[in-house]
Amino acid sequence: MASDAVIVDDIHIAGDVSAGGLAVPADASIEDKHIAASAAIERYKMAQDATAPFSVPLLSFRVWNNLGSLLPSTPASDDLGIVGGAFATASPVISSGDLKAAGATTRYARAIYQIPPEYDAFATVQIVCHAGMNTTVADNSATLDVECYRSDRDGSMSADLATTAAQSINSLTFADKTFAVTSTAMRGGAILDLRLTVAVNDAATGTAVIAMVGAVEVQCDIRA
Amino acid sequence: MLTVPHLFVQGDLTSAATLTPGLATILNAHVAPDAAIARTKLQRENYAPVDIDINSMRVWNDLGALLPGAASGDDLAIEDNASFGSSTSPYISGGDVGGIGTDRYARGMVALPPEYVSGAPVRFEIFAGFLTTAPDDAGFLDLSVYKSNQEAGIGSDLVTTEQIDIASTTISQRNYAITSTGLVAGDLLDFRVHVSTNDVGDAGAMVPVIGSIQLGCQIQG
Repeated sequence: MASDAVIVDDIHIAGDVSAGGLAVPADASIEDKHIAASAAIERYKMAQDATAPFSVPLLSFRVWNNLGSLLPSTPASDDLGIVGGAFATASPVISSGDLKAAGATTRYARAIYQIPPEYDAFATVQIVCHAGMNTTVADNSATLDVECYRSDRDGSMSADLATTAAQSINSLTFADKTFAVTSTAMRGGAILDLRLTVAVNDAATGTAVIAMVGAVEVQCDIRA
Repeated sequence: MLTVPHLFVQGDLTSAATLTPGLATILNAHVAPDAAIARTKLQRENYAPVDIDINSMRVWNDLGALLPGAASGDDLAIEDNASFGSSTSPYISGGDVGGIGTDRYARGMVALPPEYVSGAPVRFEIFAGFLTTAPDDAGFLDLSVYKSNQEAGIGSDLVTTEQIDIASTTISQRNYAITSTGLVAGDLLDFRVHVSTNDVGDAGAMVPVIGSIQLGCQIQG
């Protein structure tokens, strides 16, 4: 191999430049104008954005065992409710309703969510709920659980992919509760069947004991 | 400066300064599989549309109820015309307001998408106007938008655009700017549209119409 040639001055090539080895542009020198209009740069060459937030609309949740029904405005029986509060003074939440002195009570809500096309196959997927208690905590317990099944698109489904156990939300300080999801075989377009379970056990509290979920997100690794 | 017609380097070609590719010469094949091009290096697109399904809109003071099929009281309606495929698409309707004054509402929620550039411009784009006849006095569309704190609380109204006159049978896009300071991807916005009308002469059917609502926000990627 010939020895390296070093040109110490600027050099302008009127025609093409080619190299048998690497032709390495200087760092941060490539601009949009250098990229061909037909470049079609593939998605996998983009940086991965970890746990990008995709909202699961609160208004999309349904009665868990009757998907033809919206969540009720007033939670009852085993159904969580969608409570809007007074517009301009409160934001909508999914609510358990007042369960003071109601004993052990479990209420649910269900939604269908499709993993976005930019999801990086098999990478991290998690479900994050912002949740806590309103007015008073339960004297015994209040927990939130998430179940996540992937539809097989033929009426059948996977096993429960959520690997995180129910978490306590028995605090007046709301917090993000993260539920990990097994992402083996997960791809963009996968359809997830989600169910929230709020379990409150209060026996003696005299003021309102209300569990609330203020936001639900599917967070997943994506590439732009 | 040395100028030569062509150059072939048998080995590597590098530069201590700038080795500039020709314009429009870089193809996918030139980009390393592990390039990991950051989103921040992609071009920003202004007012990329984020659709808001008008079928998801709710009664403004009862989120457990879908919009009714016919406008009444203070509620706007979702109008399907009951005849799919007959040249009419679904729309939010104020009902026939000929000869009366009305204030009618509908409420919805939308989240800022992951590709939203933090703090960048956001607006709501609403296609609105009147079907058949415009009212002889007034027809306005107003919008209120609040950011949810995800704990049942909110901030102040983010909309900076005043109500817009839609008393026209030309249905067109009406833009409502919102204060985007502090907004980030994933933020939940709680919004309400308000159609106010007044008509005296009742010169035939006059129906305020919202044909679509979308969020326009600046994105990268």
